[in-house]
Amino acid sequence: MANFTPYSNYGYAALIKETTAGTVPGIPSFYFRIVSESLSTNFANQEINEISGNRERRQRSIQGQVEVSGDLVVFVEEKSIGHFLRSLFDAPNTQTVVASTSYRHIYEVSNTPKTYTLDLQRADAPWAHRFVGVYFTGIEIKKEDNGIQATISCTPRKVFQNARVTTAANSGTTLIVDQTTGLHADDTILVLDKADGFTTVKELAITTVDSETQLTVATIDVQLDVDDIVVIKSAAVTDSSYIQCDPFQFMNGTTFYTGADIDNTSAFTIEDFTISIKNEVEARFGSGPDEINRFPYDVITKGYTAEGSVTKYYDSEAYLDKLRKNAKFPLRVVMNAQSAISANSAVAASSTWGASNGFTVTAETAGKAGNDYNVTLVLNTIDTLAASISGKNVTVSLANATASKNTGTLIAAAVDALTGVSSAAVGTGATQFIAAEDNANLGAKSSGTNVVGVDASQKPYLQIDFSHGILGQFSPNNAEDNIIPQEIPFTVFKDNDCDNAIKKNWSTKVYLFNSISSY
Amino acid sequence: MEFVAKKEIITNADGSITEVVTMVEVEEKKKTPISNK
Repeated sequence: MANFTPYSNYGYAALIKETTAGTVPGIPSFYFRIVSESLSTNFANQEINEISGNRERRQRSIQGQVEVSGDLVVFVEEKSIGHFLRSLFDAPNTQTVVASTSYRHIYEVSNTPKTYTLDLQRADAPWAHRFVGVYFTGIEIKKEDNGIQATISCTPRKVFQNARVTTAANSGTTLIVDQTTGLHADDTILVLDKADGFTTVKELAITTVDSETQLTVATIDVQLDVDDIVVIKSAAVTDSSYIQCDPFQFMNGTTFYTGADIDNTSAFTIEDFTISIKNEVEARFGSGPDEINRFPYDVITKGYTAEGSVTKYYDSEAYLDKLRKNAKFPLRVVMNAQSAISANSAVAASSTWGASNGFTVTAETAGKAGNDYNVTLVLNTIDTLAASISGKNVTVSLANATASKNTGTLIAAAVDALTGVSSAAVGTGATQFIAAEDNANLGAKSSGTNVVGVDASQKPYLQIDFSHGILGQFSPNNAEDNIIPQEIPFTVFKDNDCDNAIKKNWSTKVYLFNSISSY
Repeated sequence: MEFVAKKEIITNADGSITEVVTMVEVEEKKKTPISNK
């Protein structure tokens, strides 16, 4: 008879945002469903091979460093994916779409990825293993039958699997152990009998974590021996602990787009795909007096890269042509959920330019597609104000000598005459624009007033934009009795060609529309 | 200064269309002298 059922489905995974990397802010409380996990704490040992008068090589052994890594495999749905993206990119720019109801979160590559504390209960163990300072360093998305599945790479700094009592106690509130990192004052610990590693000798609520080796706990009223095992008591998880929605679907759910640039795309059909976005990280190990010092004392974030592949049978030279010319392959993937968050009306995307008294540009047609209209301010080569639109790209060419020709009112008049967008002065419209401004999409400008374009009864979505993909090597080879496949790899670059005035200056943007108000 | 919007439609080499609106300066109407009314 097992001490507890070893059946995996009793287990759980939960996370909580850390404010300071590596500091547990509380008990993880965001529960998310997993398909599998492979987090492994490698308590390495070091062989001491010495010459000592015999031919046995393995004479002695000491502790080695502890490397921790592994993956979480999850089905992608609209709520939990936001946390993994937050860790990989940074906290998103969140925009309210319908007050208190729906929000759009924009994730971009930053220099400050975020960490989480992660609890894993393995099977029905009365305890959980806690991973601290976890970077979700990679998200690899693919289709699993008709579901969208992600493998989340994890790099924790520290782990609290268990600790040992180092001073016997049978009274008082002080418990001396060999590790407290990973514990929090809100935790309850179980002290297990060292003889079997299962029997709970005492359950103790933590009052304070005093040091790396000392806890103040509820009153100890039983004998706790040296080497008894300290673990974190697992949580009582019920169905209501989970707020997740159904996973995104591939068929009847996911659409792939490409085109001349990321804002001017049309849908195309693929049969399979992979997307991988990742931060390279490097764990650094250092000196220290305690067990915990075997773990990395820091994890340094290095480069960001994105890549993937799309697969479809061979019926065109288009992809081979792009491969041959190293041509830009923008890629947008939109995964739509099945049910709307609210019965909202369609909203037209818009943004304003100028701190005040500038101008606003609005998509003429209400809907999510209006977010693709984008505006760039450049200096004209002559002293004339002009505006142009090509596809959904609006360029305002400012008169290059006379600032009074570039008022908000005049720019609005020029832009308003273009097809697809409308424009109006803000306030007096007297602000004079004299400097170029980088490309910005309607509804997503970094300053001013933004209105996000949404469809009527907008369904939650995850939209991944790669502005400048480049195709990798593939070949549509013959094989007897075969429908020739094209598995087309791509790598993602920043769209920052110097000669392109409407360059995006980013490689990856992820838009998440859901009912979560903040990540 | 007064301006009017002048619109042109250009067909690009790749077949795409670009609309261009130029703000063209126009002369303000001269006020009629009161003595001529």
